[in-house]
Amino acid sequence: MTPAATALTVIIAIVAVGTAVGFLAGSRQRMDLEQWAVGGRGFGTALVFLLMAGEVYTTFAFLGVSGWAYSRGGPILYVLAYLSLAYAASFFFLPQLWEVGHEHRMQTQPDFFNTRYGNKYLAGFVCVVGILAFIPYLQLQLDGVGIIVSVASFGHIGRVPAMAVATALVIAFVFANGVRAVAWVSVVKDVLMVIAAVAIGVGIPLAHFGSIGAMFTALAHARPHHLTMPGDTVNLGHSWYISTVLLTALGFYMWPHTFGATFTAKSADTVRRNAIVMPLYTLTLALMFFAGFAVVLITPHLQNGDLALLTVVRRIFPPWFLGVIGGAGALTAMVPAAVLILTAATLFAKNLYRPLFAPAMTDDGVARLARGMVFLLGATSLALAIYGSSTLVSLLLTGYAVVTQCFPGVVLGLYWRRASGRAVFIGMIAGVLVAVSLMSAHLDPLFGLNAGFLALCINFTVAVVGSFLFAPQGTPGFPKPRIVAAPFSE
Amino acid sequence: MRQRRGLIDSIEVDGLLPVKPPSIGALALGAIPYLAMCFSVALWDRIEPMILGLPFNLFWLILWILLTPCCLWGAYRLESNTGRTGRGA
Repeated sequence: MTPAATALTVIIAIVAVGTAVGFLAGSRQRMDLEQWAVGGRGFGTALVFLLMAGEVYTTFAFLGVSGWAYSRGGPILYVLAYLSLAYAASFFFLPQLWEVGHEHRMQTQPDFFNTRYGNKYLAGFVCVVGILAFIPYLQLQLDGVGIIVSVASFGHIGRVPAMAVATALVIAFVFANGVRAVAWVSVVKDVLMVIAAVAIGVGIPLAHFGSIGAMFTALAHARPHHLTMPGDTVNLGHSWYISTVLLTALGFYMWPHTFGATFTAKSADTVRRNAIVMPLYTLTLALMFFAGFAVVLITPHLQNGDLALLTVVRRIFPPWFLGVIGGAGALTAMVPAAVLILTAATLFAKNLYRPLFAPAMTDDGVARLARGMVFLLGATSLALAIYGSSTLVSLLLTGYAVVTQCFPGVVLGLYWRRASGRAVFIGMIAGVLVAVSLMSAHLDPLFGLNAGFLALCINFTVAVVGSFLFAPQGTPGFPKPRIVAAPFSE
Repeated sequence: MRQRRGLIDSIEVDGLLPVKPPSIGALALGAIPYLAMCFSVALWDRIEPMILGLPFNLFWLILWILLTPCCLWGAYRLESNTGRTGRGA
């Protein structure tokens, strides 16, 4: 067999086993949005650590982080900071959110807005924002599959057919109620990814330079500017770093699926203790930094940085190992893609369409509509992935710029009695419009700041000022407004 | 309805539910990782001195990934002492 055939056979075998398990086991059980993420909680401590560390290796972390470490250099350090800080921030509002959610039986993010502000249009808009933010996130997953398959096949299979097949499989997963079953596949995937990450992150520097220290010394000598900010970019300097870290750290739990997952915790205390431990898992991400930086010296001048990691793996490791990484990587992209599509479609039908346009719709009607949306979302993301040319990291940042606009509504709603639904609504609209227009006008970063962060500041200001103007008079006992700014006044 | 405790009065969302904001001390502990990993970037974004073979900025961030749980654990202890973690909830 040629190396390409070997690698592709292994990839197809891994994806086929994953799909088969999905179809077989999924048909028995009721589908559950969160199951896939918590599928491994019955295991011992060591295995749980391996699984949690494996879950850190999303398509974004695996290909995107190493890709930016390769092509941009220093600015990618924001990833190490934002994940830890996202958990630090969550410590101060997720437990409270859990308590409110528990009390009012909330299941989704729009439920929170609907209960707190009593405004179904605001809740509907939150759905729209979530779905909008999901589209680049989905595109990221599909791009990842395209990259993996095209590199592993040595270019024999193009990105487009690979992405089309992946999209079809994802839609099939969702239709076959297979998401829950894929939880067990994602267990295998997580273990494979940790092994692969160690092999790549430690193996590449060792094989080429003798040690990780020697690799950095060589890089610091050859490309001293690459390792600090702004790296190989002109405008991703320190102010960009600060604004991007804040935007993404605050937005981490604003994604509809991460927000909703909070409500599945056992108690508010579980949420707190989780927030304390979670930063440690991001340590394993450092391996992707080592890999991406090593490739700078090994294979300079790659046109697409996102290909960097796999290109070097292809050169150094045997084809079957490339196949294992490729197969695990493809599943890593497809499982979250299925969950994202499912969450978005359900939100659209349950929290947007029915309450606003068809209050009389039956549950069956909602389910049918959700299934239709699955096709629409899959097709949209596929089209964007085919015609788009963003790096994986920019795709995720685009999603964050939109989804973080939910943050003021959540935190003000929790801690400030006077926060008004109308003001939060106007602030969110302003934030989303500013973020989307700045990014589509290629004005990101603007004045050295992340465009999404600028939009968030406008959003927050409008929500606070508006609340002073609109808040119902005579609401007794609202707290002092200074509390509002406390969680992020650091 | 819970009793009012600490520096900040308990707050009700929509008059239905008291949500206790974190204490000032806990917030201060939570602010430390933000200062160290985010706002102070200009101070530590350098290659030299390389520590454990890593450029200083990478080493600094990895160090603070390890220290962040310590800060949050401190915040957790503070919250427990003031009865804010809602034990048994």
